[in-house]
Amino acid sequence: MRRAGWLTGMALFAAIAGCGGGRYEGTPVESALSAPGTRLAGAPDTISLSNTGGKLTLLTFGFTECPDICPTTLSDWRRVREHLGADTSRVRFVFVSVDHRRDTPASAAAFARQFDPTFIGVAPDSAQLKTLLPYFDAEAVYTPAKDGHGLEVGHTTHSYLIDAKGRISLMYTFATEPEPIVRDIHRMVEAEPAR
Amino acid sequence: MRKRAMLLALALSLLSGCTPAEPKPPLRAEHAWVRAADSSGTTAGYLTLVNDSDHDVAMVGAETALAREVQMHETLHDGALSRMQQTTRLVVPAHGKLEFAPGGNHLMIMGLARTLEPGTRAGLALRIEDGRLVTMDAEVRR
Repeated sequence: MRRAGWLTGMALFAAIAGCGGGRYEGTPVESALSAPGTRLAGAPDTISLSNTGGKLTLLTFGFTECPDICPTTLSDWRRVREHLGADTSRVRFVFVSVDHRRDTPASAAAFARQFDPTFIGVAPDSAQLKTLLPYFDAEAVYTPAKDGHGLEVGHTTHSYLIDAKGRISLMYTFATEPEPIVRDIHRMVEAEPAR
Repeated sequence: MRKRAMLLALALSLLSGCTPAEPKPPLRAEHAWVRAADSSGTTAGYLTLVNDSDHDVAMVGAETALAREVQMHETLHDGALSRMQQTTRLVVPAHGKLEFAPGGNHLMIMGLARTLEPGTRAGLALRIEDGRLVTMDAEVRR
């Protein structure tokens, strides 16, 4: 009886653990919305976040004149990619420009490619950004620069992991080390084998 | 005549006293590096400034031959939202340090004159309030 109780307890614990509580190291995105099917123009790739092709998507927002935050994130992603091994082909890395006034599909794509030739850069227009950002609970703010020239662009600095079904699943704060992201990608690939 | 010569010598010695008493800046730059970037791009420089003197030292600008312009910037965080802002004065406390690091203070390098290849070096300088420069030979990294 006592033994049966212990076994039941163990089974219950395994079931709870298997339900996802603490299974991933990234912060679960509570809404877990499916990413919208907006066509996002890069060069040459035009992509849709909902059309995943069975891949996971690591996504961040930024702008090409960003000297600090965005290059740091994309450099960290390069390290993520280097550590993925066989799962490299199961992930697409997408940099989304929020600077719709200055960035173009070509400049966003070139910016992302500086960090890895496989990284995709896209430049949605203003209307597309208005649609896209709320799905990620993300923001972009534009203020004139102090010196009167140019524009200061503020943006949410998280990286998001979208699962193979297109659900915005996990979130990583700026400067998260690559290792937890790599482990989460391995776990997610294992949970959703290639179709 | 002799008196005039003595006055001239005195004036010269006083004048030489007007040149900086410490020709060497009271600061040193450590671990300076610049992120590799295409010639079309914008990038950032990072370093640690160490102040071994007994006085606070204010930095008021930056110089480089690498690019059209370099500015001191700070990244401001408001929850998950970050934005950067030019700053025209940063103080290195006496016997203290000032970090320029990803996600914080950085040198924003705009209008690069050439592609910065990893493994090469890049010359940078920070200007002290009194006009002197703290120069550094930064490593270009990915």
